[in-house]
Amino acid sequence: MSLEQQLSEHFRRAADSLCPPPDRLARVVQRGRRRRAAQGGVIALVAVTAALAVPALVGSLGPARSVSAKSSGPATVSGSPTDASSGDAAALPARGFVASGPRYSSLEELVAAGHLILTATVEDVLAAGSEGPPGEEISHLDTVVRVGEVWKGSAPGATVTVRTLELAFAGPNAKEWRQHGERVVLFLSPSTENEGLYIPAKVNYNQTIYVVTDDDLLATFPDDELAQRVAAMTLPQLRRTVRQG
Amino acid sequence: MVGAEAIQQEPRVTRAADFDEFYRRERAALYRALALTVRDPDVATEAVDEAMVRAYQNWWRIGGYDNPAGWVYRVALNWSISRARRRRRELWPEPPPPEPDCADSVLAAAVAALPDKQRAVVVLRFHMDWSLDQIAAALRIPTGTVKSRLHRSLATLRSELEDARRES
Repeated sequence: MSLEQQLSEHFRRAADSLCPPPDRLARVVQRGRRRRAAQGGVIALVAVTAALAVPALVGSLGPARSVSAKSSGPATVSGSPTDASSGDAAALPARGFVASGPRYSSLEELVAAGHLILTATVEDVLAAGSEGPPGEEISHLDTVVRVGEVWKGSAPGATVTVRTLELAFAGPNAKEWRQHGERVVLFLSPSTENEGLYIPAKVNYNQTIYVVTDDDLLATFPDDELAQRVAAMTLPQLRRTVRQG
Repeated sequence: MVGAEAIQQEPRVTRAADFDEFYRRERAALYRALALTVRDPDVATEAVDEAMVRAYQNWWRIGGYDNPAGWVYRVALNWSISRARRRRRELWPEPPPPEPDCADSVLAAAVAALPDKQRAVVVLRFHMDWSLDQIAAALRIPTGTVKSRLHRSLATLRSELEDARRES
């Protein structure tokens, strides 16, 4: 018998001797499916609402405003119901989580808005509970990242926890970054509602998170114009720009 | 980016509907593969559960990969390693000493003594029967690295078996 055959046979016997794993997840998954189905309806509704409302909102405001254009209010497409009062989101609908944070028009504005800008590696992703009325709950994830280089501000410790909407990056136009081992550049603000937690700077998901591969950057929302410009930079270029303020 | 990884990094958008089928089909096999790699069934159970939850959360993307099981295996393996680091202890228990006159025992000890990265490749190749490209994509390493790890592992195992045969 060849060594390869011996190995196959050895692994087969070793695997057979293992007890079947307890199926602890089945019920969780089933429950999750039901909850997700319910959320799916809400998300679809919100997405449709956003598709209709955002152009109207932007139209009423003129071209996309920068955060500094306070008198015009924000032109925005994403955020979180939590911390919706941070940044310039006060005037936005309470449940309109798709429209609660500012959209930045330049990297300088983005850097100015970020209290903590750093490179990090995702260590853990934890369910952070949900809020909202029954049947319309919106779930959050807490992403624990290990701090790499701090470019602006100071990190509270070796890790930082970033709270985001669970489904914020779940779409064909977004890149999911909340998975173990993913290297990222984050532009963050401290959460105003949950002490110790951070959120994408002033509740802007589209422009504040970039995945790092070697020295290349990948926007989590590649359709965004500023995100495209940032992602076109290399990591050292972005580091230099951020540090120069 | 290596070719195989590029394939895996370009997902087709998929629906969550087939996650149930994937879970039922692959979970036990992934658990066994990870248990053989990390040599700790409890850690393997927890790690695969964790990875399956993450796969479920991202199924719209993961489900479009050529080999979603590879993604789950890698996440579970990384989770196992991270957990061991957090607890500041050796993940893999010491391999048991081989029993005399038992070829499979010698082989088991030799496999257990392989470096972790080599053992992962050997398990995926000879237990999961994955292709070199599938292994490369799962572990996010170039196919050439898979080949060289496999080559070195087999050479080590052959040498161990030969030594044991001579001694007996």
